Amino acid sequence: MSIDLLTVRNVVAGYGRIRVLDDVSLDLRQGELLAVLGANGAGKTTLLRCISRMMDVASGDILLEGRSLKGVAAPELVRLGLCHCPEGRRLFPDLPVRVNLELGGFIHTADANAAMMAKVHALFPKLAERAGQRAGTLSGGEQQMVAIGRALMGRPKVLILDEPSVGIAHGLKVQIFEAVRKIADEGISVLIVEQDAEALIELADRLYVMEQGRIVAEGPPRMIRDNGSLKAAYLGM
Amino acid sequence: MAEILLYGAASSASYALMAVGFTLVFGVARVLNLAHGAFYACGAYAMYGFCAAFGAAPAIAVLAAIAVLAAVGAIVNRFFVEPLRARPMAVLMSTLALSIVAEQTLLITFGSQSRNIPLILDGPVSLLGVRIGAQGLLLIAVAIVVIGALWLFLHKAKLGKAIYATSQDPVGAQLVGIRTSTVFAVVFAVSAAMAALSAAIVGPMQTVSPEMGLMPMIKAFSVVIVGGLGSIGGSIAAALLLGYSETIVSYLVSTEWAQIVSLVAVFVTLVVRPSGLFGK
Repeated sequence: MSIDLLTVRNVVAGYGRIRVLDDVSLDLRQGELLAVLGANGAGKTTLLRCISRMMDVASGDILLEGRSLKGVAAPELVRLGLCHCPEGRRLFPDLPVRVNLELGGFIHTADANAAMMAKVHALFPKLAERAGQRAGTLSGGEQQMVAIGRALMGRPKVLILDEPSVGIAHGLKVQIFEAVRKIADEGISVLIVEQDAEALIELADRLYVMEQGRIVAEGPPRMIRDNGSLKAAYLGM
Repeated sequence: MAEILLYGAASSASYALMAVGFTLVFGVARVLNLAHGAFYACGAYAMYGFCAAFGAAPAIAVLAAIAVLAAVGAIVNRFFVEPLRARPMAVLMSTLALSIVAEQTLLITFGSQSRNIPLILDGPVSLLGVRIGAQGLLLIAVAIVVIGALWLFLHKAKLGKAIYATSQDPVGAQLVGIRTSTVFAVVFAVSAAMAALSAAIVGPMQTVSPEMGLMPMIKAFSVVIVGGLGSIGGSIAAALLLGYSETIVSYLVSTEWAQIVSLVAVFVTLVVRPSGLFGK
């Protein structure tokens, strides 16, 4: 019996009068790599913004380990075990890579951070080479590694990734997805949203497909692989 | 020559203390605090109050005034800035309104006649063959120590790094667990405390009156525009530039013309390099 770490229950949300999420429900289980796929504008980023308390839900609820996140301030999420690696990465561009990672472990001790930093460097050896370089001067792919590394430094139970492959060369994309798979294999539950369905289908444990603010399909990767009309209709494959 | 060197340093120091606090708030919280001059005036009156009412020694009164203004800064942030953060224009208006209220309150409470606050260090000293007030040298030393300490704090201390990170990306800061509302409160407190410190040291060399915050505020704004909004290094450079150019002009031409220097500097900067010396 797997435990639900994160539960999204009948969430409705939007900007002003525009409804972006329409009765969205999903659950993230312990140690799984869960992907939410969908075209641009399907509501994926809005869903993540709701989960990470960057915006409020109009109705419905989001629970982390059974506890409602309503009223929780965004900076407290890390302390509850949820780290979000957002759209646009949100790095500290003038600070070196090393300091960006250290700040990821802001709520932890220096010793704990040193240990975690070694793990992050093992996952992304490039970041060890670039430790002293200002984050803003790195390539897009390297910045994405810093962003994922910084989120890992928070020692999350749940890691949320918003389109990590956007604007990144194919080779680095593969590296990043492989790293994400490793992270999940180490027991951290990962929720990833992506437009690039093809690369993720092979890696994810389970998939949701979103379309116009609704979840239109849920199941194991083979469900999508074997369903030509689903692929054509929602994922443009 | 030595006179220009020392007097220029003293006036640069007073500009830098005001401007660094002002630019810190902009750099981190992304708001222009037009009540910064009011912090300066209130700092001087707090010093006056502690000396006149409680008979405190000047050095103790300075520390008390700094503590009071730090609290005032945090309170102003909480009630007049934080609720309006999403609208920079509203913050501009609320802090401007607040500065007028502060000035009028000082006028009602203390009257329009100017007051005197005591020097912390009395008497002239001779340095490099120049007779300069000890208070002027204190001002230079305090500015160097305080701004140096602030720089170290921002780069080395954990809270300082959190402040620096917030200035870089407030959303990113929240994502790693930095409580940005606390950061903004601290930054306002530090900024107001620096204005109070500046007023307490410069005040005895001028007169203390309710509208005394206006000129330092305009000078701080000029320095910050020339240096580049939000850049502490830029503010220091611009404070030196303005402090020395004003001193040189006062010596060679007249003090009236010196006042025009900062305005010309602002104008030239806006035309030639709109983002300031160190701006992005």
